[in-house]
Amino acid sequence: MIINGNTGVGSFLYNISKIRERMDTAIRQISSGKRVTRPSDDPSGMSNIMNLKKLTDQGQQYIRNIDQSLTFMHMTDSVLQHLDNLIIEAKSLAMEAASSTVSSDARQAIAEEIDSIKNEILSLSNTKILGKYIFSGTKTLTKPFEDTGGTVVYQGNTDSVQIQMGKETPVSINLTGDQVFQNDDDIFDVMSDLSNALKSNDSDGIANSLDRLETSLNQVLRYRTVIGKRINLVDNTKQRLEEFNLIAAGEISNLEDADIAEAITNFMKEQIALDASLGAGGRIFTQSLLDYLG
Amino acid sequence: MSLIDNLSIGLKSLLTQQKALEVTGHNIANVNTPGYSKQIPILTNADPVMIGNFFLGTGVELSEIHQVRDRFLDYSIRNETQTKEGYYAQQRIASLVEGIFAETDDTGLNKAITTYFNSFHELSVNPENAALRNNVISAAEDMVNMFHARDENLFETQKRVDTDISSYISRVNTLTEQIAKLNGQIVTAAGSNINPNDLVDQRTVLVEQVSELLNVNAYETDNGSLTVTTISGKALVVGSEWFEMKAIKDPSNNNYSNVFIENRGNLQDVTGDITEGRIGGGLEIRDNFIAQLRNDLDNLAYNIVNEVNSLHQTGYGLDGSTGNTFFDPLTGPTSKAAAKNIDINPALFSDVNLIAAAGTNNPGDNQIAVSIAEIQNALVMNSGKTSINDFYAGMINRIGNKTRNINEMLQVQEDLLVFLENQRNQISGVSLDEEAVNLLKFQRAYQACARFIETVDKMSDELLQRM
Repeated sequence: MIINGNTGVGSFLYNISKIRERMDTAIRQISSGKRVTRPSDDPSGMSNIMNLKKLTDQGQQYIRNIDQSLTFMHMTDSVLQHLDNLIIEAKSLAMEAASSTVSSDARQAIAEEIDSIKNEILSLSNTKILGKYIFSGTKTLTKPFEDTGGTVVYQGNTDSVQIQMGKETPVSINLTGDQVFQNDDDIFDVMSDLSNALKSNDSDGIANSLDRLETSLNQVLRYRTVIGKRINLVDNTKQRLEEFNLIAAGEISNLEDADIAEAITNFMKEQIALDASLGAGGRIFTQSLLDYLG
Repeated sequence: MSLIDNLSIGLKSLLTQQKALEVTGHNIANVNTPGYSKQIPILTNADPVMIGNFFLGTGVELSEIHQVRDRFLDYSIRNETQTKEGYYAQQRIASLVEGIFAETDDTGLNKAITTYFNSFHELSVNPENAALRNNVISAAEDMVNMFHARDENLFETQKRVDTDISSYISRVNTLTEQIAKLNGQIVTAAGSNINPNDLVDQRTVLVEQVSELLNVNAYETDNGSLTVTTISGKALVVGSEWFEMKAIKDPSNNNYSNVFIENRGNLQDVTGDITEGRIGGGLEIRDNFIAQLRNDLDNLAYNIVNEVNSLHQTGYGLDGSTGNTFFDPLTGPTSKAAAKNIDINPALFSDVNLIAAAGTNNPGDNQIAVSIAEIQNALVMNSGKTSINDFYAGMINRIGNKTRNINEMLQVQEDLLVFLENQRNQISGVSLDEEAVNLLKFQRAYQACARFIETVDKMSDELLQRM
């Protein structure tokens, strides 16, 4: 078998180019920090990465939804707390006025305070957050309560505002005005009736209002509990989502990130191979018998 | 035999050694010529003559210049080259397509689709908010533009492959014409008992170049000409006649070219025969790989438009209107061209309040917005079996697997060809060491012959002097 000068050339060049290709891959990994930059680098790994990224993207969206809902619910709760305080104040005024030693003039004065509390409650009931009324159900651009010559009428609807916080059923985040202010007893009526009783010096009427104020207080309390529970539920959901995202991010990193140390080692290995090959090639191809004749 | 006759022995031998030296020189000159097979001068002793009771030899003659060629290796190399070039053509384009769909960064069609659907989630929390409505339109625009861009990119790539195929076809014709001409010369030379070694080398190189472009069968006939046909036997070169290959547009396939051979006025469709070589690789990529991707993209766009529209039409805008579509409806029984044609309903640009987030005519109602947002998780692709995200991931997966597969096969072929070329080189390649020795050999023999002639000459001279 005669090995002539050309035998090695083809495979020599081919092998050199393969070394350079491997060096190129190593450099790409080092500079991008990623093991998988193209689908063909690892097709099934790529699928997994895409799926995980989709899940984390979605998780983050749900978290954003939750954050906004929490703002809404916390504000609702704060309104309810304010309402609570107002009713307590009204109750304390009513108790004071119920005493038989109070003069009718004094009762007149108290009646005015009750009126002003009623207006504050009306104001509260028409609270807006981010440009929408919080107690109107889904008729968020319509004022929930309108004072039509003495009687307060509810103009919202009874639909719930539902926010998607995951793939499960959506969570209702609102309370409707008819629930909070009018469910067991109509707070506005209670206030009007109390004011009238005070103005007409009606002791029985005043006593009756005390019971009704108690009912109203419990009503508000009940809905504060509802909101409180919802806030807890939503907080837990958020926590679960955040934990999942953390794990998923770790997994994505595992699949996607290059092992820099390994890539650098590979690069250096190939560098050495390249040097050696080029050096050897340089020597072999230059000699033949013709160098030595004549 | 007289003394003078010996001169002719000397002369014949001298000339023979000289010719042998010429062959050596020819080999050395062609040490780097691709496709050149070394030639060996076959020296035989000339026919003896009968003188008295003896056979006396009459010197040396050159009986043949033998070309060292392994036919089977040639065949193997040609075969593997076809396969390799097919993969090479596919790899070039598959890499481009892979680049078009590069999705590891936070850009790309997948992200655009997700952002679009998520914009409905954002809207669902505050459906009355005009800024969020604008965001929905904006995200929709991004997605629509992405679809357009991807479709355009794939189309351009397909067209480019088609153009390549046309130019390869022209090249085939250039080659087959030359092969036919060489066939003529080789047959004539063989007929006159001259070994047309160099012509055969040239023809082999040309046939290999044809193999790079498409898979062919090539076999020698008794008179030395090479017949070249497609794998189903349609002739490209027969003797000194060659048949032209033509690229003919197919209106049922986007006016891309099919491959025909014109044979005595008949057009034969050989597109199905071409499965390897650059033309074969191009056809596969153009008509299968890319066509499938465009189809998938169209399906995706089509389903998104229809699913969103059917929900959107049942919903109410902030202005109380209902029955509006979000996208321009995509008519047509199939999804073809959906990715090119997908567009937002222009009425929505002028009034974002037309975006229907609500299921009832109430501004705080977000049911439709939520339902649209959740389309991305619903099984709306593949007749209800796959979600949008999984479908798209499937597309990327297929691209990745195909590209990887092509890369690996190409590598295998390259390795194999390097091995085979080495083999061929060992057998047919010129060794400068060997030729250097031959130079010495034939030079010395020449010198010796010359010496012989000189000696005979002196002897004749002596004889003449005495006369």
